[in-house]
Amino acid sequence: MEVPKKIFKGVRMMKRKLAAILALFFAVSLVLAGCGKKSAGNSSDGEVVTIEAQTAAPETTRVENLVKAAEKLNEELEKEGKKTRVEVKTKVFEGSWDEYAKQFMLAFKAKKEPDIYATGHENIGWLADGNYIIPLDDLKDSEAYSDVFPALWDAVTYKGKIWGALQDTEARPVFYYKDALRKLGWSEEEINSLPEKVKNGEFTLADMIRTAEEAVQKGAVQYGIIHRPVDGPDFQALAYDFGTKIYDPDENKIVLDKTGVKKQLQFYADIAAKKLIPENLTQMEWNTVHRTVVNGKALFYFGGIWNVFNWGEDAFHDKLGKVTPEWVNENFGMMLIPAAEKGGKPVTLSHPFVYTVSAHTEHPDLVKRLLELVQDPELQTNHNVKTYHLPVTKAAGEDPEFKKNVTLGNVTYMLDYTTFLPNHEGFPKYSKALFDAIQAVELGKKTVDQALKDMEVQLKNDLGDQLTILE
Amino acid sequence: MEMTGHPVSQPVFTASERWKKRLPYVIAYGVLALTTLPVIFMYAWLILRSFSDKMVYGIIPVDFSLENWRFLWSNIDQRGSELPSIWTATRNSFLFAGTLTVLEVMIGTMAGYAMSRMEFPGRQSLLKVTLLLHAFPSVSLLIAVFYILNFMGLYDSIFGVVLVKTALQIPMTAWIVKGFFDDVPWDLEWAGLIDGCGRLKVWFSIVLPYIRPGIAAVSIFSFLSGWSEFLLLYTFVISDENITLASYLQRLISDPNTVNYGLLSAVSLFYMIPVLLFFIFTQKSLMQMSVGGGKYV
Amino acid sequence: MNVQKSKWKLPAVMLGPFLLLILLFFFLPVLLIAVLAFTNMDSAMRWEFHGLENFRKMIADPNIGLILKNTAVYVGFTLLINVFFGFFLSLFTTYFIQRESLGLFFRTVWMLPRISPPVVYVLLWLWFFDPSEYGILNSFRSLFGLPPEPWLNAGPMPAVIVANGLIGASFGMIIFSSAIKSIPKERFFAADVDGASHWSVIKDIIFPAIRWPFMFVTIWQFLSLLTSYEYILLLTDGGPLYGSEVLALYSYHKAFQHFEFGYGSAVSLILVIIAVVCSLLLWRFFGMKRMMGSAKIE
Repeated sequence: MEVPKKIFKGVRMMKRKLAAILALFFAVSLVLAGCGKKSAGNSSDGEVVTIEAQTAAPETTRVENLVKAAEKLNEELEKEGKKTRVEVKTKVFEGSWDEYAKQFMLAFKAKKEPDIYATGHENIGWLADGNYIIPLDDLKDSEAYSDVFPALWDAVTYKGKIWGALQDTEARPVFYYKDALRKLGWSEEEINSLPEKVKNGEFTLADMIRTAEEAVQKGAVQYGIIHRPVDGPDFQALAYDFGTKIYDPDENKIVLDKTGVKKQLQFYADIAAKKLIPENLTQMEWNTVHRTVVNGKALFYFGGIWNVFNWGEDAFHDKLGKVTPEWVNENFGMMLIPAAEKGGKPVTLSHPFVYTVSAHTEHPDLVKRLLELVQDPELQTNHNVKTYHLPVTKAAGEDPEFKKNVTLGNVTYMLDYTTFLPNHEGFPKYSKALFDAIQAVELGKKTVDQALKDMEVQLKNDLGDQLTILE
Repeated sequence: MEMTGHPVSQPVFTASERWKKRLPYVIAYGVLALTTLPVIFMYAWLILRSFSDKMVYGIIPVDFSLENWRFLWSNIDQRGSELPSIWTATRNSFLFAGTLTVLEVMIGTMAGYAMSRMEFPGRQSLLKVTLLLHAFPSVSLLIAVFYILNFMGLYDSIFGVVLVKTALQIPMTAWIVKGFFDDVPWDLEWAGLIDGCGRLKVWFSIVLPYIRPGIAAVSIFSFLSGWSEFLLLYTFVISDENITLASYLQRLISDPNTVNYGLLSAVSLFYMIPVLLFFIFTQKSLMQMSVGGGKYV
Repeated sequence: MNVQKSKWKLPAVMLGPFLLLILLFFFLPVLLIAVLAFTNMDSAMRWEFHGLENFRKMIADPNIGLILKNTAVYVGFTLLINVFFGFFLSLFTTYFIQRESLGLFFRTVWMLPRISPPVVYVLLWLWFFDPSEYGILNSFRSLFGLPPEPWLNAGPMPAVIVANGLIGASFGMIIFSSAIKSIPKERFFAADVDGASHWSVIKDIIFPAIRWPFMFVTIWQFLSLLTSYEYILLLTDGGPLYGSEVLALYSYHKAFQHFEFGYGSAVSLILVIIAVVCSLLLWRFFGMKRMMGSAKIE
């Protein structure tokens, strides 16, 4: 059989095209490969030391502050007559918290991790256990950290050592819609003194539920109570409120305090049974939650002060769109989570962010100096005001710019009543199991006892010998 | 206008017979339209959403605006930090998908030819194993692949990810190519061999062009997967300069509290356009198998 | 002697890069995973041998029963959609539709789910299933005076199956369409001249032509579904309360949310074993060996 001539001509054309394309792509890919390989972050050629700092979006001020701190450090170094200069390279990660942690783990193993890694304090557990970070005990004795709010040190202590430099903290108040209380016949004075009553234990959790019921019955609001729709730290605040033990620092084990957790689950079962919450709250989207709260459809909302920031960034209000902090303060009050018993102590929960230092860093001294300089009250305030967080030192709390902020100034007192999540690595599993239990009782799929039993089985499987059970 | 089932000369039918003949067509069109309608609807919404600032009742656009398409000519500012230019991301996506396609086509055609034409010990098992490789979930391989990449010094490099992605895809690629090679009439190669060309030359200059539709099919699948690849790049590449369109999109939704749906719709459409075009242009090749001499039944 | 050597050379060259790549990035990782499955590697990325501990844990896991059931349901039903609806689509766009451009249009529309970025595709479905009165399905219901339903909570499995099915169908659609298009036109003419009904045309001409692609698509999609988790992750994240959690997603959750790499690898290993066993069974069932035939060589 003869091979048709047409195929040959087509072949020649195609061959040439193919070759050209291949050549181009090869060249490109070579270039790509060359660009792809990065040189290691830490270079020390004597004069300029590059320190890499990473945080997660969107609070870029966490690392930008380090850049400013580096400027000050360089001034100091010059005064000391030293030749080295420090340059801070910043990286901002966008994605979920799990991905953020995973990237750090892999980067560390490949020796491409940042020197300073800003993360939530609860990660200290696994970071320390895995030898990813170095202890920072000397920071506690330094001058810059001498006026840190004492309670905050608990958040960065693990196995008796300090592992993180406190960067910021926040509060998770309960927002209440003033107009709803007015509809119930409360006077202005009563409305505005509510936070005070909560603070000294006069207004308890039971009072809160009762008021919410009244509001819904009288039609003042659609929902009595709203809480976060997804797994998160806030649920533990109620645990602490009931005096539930979650963690045993001496044994370094997670604790399942069955009596305490039962009270916790009962609370959620009750508010669901009394129809105080939307039917499928644990499956709602954040957008819907924000919209419900901002439009005054709920009386009490277990939120976070950064929600004020959220409500100003996106148009949640049906008529006003984005709302100003002034508007929020006019229409909503903020209070601690009421005590469980009369005369008891109210609580809130904070989730401080900390700077941790990689164990591979080549310049631990310079890094520590940076961490001291970054505590400057002005830098802290700049970050706090922009991102709605609270300061870690008393000096920053006194900063006039900070005090000017109408929301933040009002809630700083909450830091005296705050609690923290444990630093144990297994805590996220506890958190998820608890959230699953809460979801089950709120949806009416399980009774409190059933949910508690299932939670016990789940935790025993997940945590094994890292769990202690208290009856 | 290509006809598949319609004869040239039609025998005479009665009215009811004609109806009976037509009924399946009617049903076919009907069912097709019914099931396709929701899909069309969804994407129509996507288009509408991208051209309007706000939507009433979630479906009706309030106004027409090009605001959401501003990423084409300016960098988006998101919560204080500026996103890199969409064109950087596009270029990186193109480079990644392109390199991936070239590698896959090259390695796939060689392997497919070997699997189709050559006899070597272990051939049966190789074919079987290649198909079974698809049983391994990429998710569980991630950590193991990390160790290997790191060992080779290819962590945080796009080329490393290209290699991994190629490896994950070539089993399927080789199978598809093998299918095409199976249809090439042996006489073609024989003639070439008789004329004095070596085996390799015959392969390259005679057989390969014959399976152009096969190469087109493989190209579109490779390009598509490279274009939409996200997880591997996200896990193994950490430098900011290497952002691709997929990561760009991810950034837009990283904070569930502040998602701009209009912008998201516009960027998604922009993302889908190149592949859509590619698909339409290679359709003909995709549908066209070797003409004549087919051994299908 | 020389014949033997040259017999190896060409295959070696042609197969070389292929084999090298799959060895490096497939076999090696799989071996690693098999090893990791017997360790207790966690976030510290150190490991110690743990024997069968991980597997014991899996059996004791309170959710494992539901997860296995979900996996079976998910794979079974989605496979049906993928293969049969895919065939249906290809049949309609190549055989019943006369105009090529119309067929092309439909085929392109059905490719859209596959080429959309997963995030966006899921977003569209979330809007479709939105529990408020503004969701598409619920708007439809309100036309009939019915109250809105929380679709994703009440029926996470159907939602997940439909969403994935639409994507999978396009794969079969392309493969089957090519197969149908390559059937020589003369057969159709002949059948029509003989006055054959559509059904018998489909049965006698089209079915035999697609037997091979059918088997391929079935096995391939089966494996894809067993190991896929991305869309489920985005749509329902396995919820509510593990209602739509499948084995692959479970492995992902354990490995990358709880950083239990050892345990996650063990789950993956079980998944792989199930996958391989089932495909071997399918392979036997379809008589693949016969279909592959021997190579055409010198």
